[in-house]
Amino acid sequence: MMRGDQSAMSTLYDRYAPGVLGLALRITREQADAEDVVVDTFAQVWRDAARFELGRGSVGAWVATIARSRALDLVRSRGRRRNLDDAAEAEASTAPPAMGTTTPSPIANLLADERSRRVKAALEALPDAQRAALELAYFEGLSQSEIAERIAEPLGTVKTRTRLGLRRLKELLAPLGPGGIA
Amino acid sequence: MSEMPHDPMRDLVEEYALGQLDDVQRVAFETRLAGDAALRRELAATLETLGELALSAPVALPAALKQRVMADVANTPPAQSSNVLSFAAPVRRSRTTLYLGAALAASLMLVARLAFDLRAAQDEAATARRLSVTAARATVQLDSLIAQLTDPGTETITLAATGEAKPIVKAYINRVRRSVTLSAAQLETLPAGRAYQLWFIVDGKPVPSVTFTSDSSGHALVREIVMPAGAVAATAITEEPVGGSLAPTSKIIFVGKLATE
Repeated sequence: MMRGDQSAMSTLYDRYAPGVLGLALRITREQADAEDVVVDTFAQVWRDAARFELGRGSVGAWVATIARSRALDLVRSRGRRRNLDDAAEAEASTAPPAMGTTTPSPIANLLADERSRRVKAALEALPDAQRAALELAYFEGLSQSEIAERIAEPLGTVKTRTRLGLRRLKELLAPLGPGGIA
Repeated sequence: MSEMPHDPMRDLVEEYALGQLDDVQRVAFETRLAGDAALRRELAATLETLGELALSAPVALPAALKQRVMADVANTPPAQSSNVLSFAAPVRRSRTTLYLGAALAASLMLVARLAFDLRAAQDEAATARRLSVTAARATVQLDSLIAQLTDPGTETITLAATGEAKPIVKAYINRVRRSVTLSAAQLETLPAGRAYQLWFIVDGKPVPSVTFTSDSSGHALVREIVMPAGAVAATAITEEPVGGSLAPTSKIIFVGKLATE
């Protein structure tokens, strides 16, 4: 992949594209937009592969960072930011996880299902206020000030909720092990 | 066993990973990140968690999508550069913080310049020691400033220009500490003997505070200004003699209202 191997790109796509499309759908709320995000994401992965440094994080985290950035850019450019209720509705509409025909193997499907279940359980274990702040920050890309305005809470409260929520999520997902999405 | 001192940078890891830091904070965080392996590990772990969150709801892929991706790849040459990729989250840049970012960036450049000078002066021990102390002081000041600006109790107001002036002035106000940090960009250079003066409006009356001038690029940064007693309703800036005035002698150039205490 780092040497420009298209077969490696194909493998990478099979592994991460279902998750990338799920993320893009949640953020953009439009199938066509979400597919554009997938194309843009893997195009950037391809262009930048030679510059990726494994020591700074897993491939999965890198792909996710790119995908989120592309999706938020697209939403901001088209002015289609949605409110929290819409986001909750979208979350429901993206379930259940579905493994497409390009997913590599039944074992990989099983592992992906298990990871999805554990992430969902970890999110549900967070206090509602922390989960809401974290989801607004991550999936809607709102600034702390925008979140504070949206939920009518002081800025300091929002900062604390976001920080504590993400730290708690990190603790809860730690058993998944390092490089869990590599 | 004594506790480790609180490091405000640790509190910024999550906001950085979420792309929520403003330019000032981001520059400071990345500067620290470059020389702090523990902070890099903490950030990497946080990004892993966000990656798990991001990719946790996979959906079925349209068959044609892979063809689009592979066709796009086939038409795009991969990057050949060996430069290290930035792994930071997407950044939301606020125009209103750019001027402070520039001021802080200037401070960081000073630190970097001093560090460079320090390396160049390895054979001159006395010079090196002097530069080292100066660089360390600059770093400490920077950390202190970041701690102030990132304190959850700090609120930010923008002082609006009352005339045609282009400058932007921001005040970072911490009511608990009764402290204000003032930052401005694109300020007009005043004639010799003249300075800008800050006023706090308390009970409808102006209470005099510090005087300041801008540097040659129009920037000004005044830290830890003590707020007067009483309910401060607004801040204002006028042009006064360098020594300051007890009451405004010129019209208000900038004014910013505070939220009701």
